[in-house]
Amino acid sequence: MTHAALPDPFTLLTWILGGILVLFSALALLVIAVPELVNPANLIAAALDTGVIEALALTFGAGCVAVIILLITGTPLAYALSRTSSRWKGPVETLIDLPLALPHTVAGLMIYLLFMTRGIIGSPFQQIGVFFEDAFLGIVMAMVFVSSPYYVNTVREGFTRVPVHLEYVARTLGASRFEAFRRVALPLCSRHIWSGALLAWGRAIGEFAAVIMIAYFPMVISALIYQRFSTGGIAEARSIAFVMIVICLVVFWTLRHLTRRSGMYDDRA
Amino acid sequence: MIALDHISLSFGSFGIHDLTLAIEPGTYLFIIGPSGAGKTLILETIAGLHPPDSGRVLLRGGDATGILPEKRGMALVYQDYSLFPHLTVAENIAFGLFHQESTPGEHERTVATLISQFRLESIRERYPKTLSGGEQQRVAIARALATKPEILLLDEPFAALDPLIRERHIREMRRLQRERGLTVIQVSHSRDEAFALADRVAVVIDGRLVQEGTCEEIFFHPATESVGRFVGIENMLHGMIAGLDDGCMAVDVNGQHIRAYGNLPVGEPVVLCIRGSDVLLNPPQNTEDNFHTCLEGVVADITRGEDRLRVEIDGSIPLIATLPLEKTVEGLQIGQRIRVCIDAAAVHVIRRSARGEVA
Repeated sequence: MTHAALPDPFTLLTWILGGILVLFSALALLVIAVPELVNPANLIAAALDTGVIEALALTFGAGCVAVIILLITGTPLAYALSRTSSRWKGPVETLIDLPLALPHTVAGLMIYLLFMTRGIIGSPFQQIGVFFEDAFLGIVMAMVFVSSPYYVNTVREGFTRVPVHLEYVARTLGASRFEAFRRVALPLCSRHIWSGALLAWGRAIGEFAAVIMIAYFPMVISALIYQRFSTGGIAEARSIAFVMIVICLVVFWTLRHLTRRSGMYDDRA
Repeated sequence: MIALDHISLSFGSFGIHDLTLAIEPGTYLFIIGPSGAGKTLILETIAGLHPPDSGRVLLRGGDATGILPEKRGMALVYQDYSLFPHLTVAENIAFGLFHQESTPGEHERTVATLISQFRLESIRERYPKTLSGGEQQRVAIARALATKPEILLLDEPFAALDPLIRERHIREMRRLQRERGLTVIQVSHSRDEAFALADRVAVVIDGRLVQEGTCEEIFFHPATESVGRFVGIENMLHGMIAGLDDGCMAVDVNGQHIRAYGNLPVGEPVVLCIRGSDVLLNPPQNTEDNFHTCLEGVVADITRGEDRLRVEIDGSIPLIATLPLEKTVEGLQIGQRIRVCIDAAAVHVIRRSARGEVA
């Protein structure tokens, strides 16, 4: 016997209100997808355009490098923040959150002033032949800055959930602090690390304002879309946008699927 | 030998204050005390997880204060067992072997031995999350023993087990400790566990060691009023020595005299500790002698507990008597007048100025 009754009014309400948001996202996708799929000639041209391919490769590449930098520096920071009760914790967390609240043009200006050829970081690096202005590394640094709070906050939350008692037990079983981190805290935080990396990468490849202030050229995909929108009009920008959407959907879905079981230790499922 | 030498430490809202305690090898020491007394912090400090603000930890005759936890030869088992959720039972047990200088073959043999000793064969490839409390506890103990520690630190290891399994685990722990000659330091709330396991008991209240001794000393001869209250002595009566009378002291409590043994000066303020089981209800007339105190009262309340009856008696001195369920007194009911007698030998006297010495 089945009870295929209507859901209760509250459940219904949550779906109706939430549905507005879903509808909005779906419509936004459709206004790009429908014209592109109806008339795929432009789409194919855009997908084969060397400028587009280069911009995509540059964007995803810089995004990956930014995430690697975050993994190396953000993971220890997140761990330290999760294990401290120091009075510096609050100020450091505020500083890390700063890019969340700033207009991205402000973030871009900060990056520019630091890394420009005459900037306090840019200048000494220039001496050894490393350039940030209008260069790959400038793009990477802008991406690191704007995406760092997404990574650090997610991973810190993950480490906070690892009971410190587990590390204490590991210590008494002979593990050094580093071994306790590597063998206990890190694997138990893997899910949050994946999730933080994916969020940060998504934020990084989508960045426009902060990136173009330090490096308008070489063009990341968002800069290219804006440039084609200003010069070639809606149709041209829309085709590139759709290529980007498809790639992002595939990448995100694949990574989420691959990491779905990571960090879940329960043999009931 | 392990010793804490004037250890002080504050950690969050917990603290340890000037704690000195020595533990002989092969001893089973219980640390008991109210929640928040800093008991777990003491274990963690012994393990080297928190450096003390002052004082020293001595180990095998040397100063171990600066020795890292991984070098101390101790294993710690928490109340929640703290099994590594990302490792199987076998991997949990093998965790500490990774850091030892022995061959993988030896590791495997050690794990196999512990798995069979702790009856974990059927769950060796399972993850901890789905194990029962008893299974988790066995895995935690096996994991702790894998590295052959000389000292085992246990934080309420039986608290989360249901009563039947608990008794069995307590017996097994006793056997294990004797067989291996382990020094065990266990934090506990339970009197039953202390009587079953402890060679020595240390009472810690508000981060201070208040009394250290055998079970009998702690539970029947508390050194201070706070220990008496913590170990659950039902009657703690404030009074003053009123006089000496045929080898007995007469202690004035609310204008009534209660007899007790001891030799304290007249006028000394004291606390009398009388167990509920030592308050005899309607005893035979022949208890009326110089070694007993008999009082009249009215039954104010009767509460039936798991294994005993608790009777509150109102009178010039309010008393609580406890008696085994099967020994109920004929016709006992609320409002009834009743005669109660207390043997002078059952009255334990603490000087009110006492800070750890017994009268």
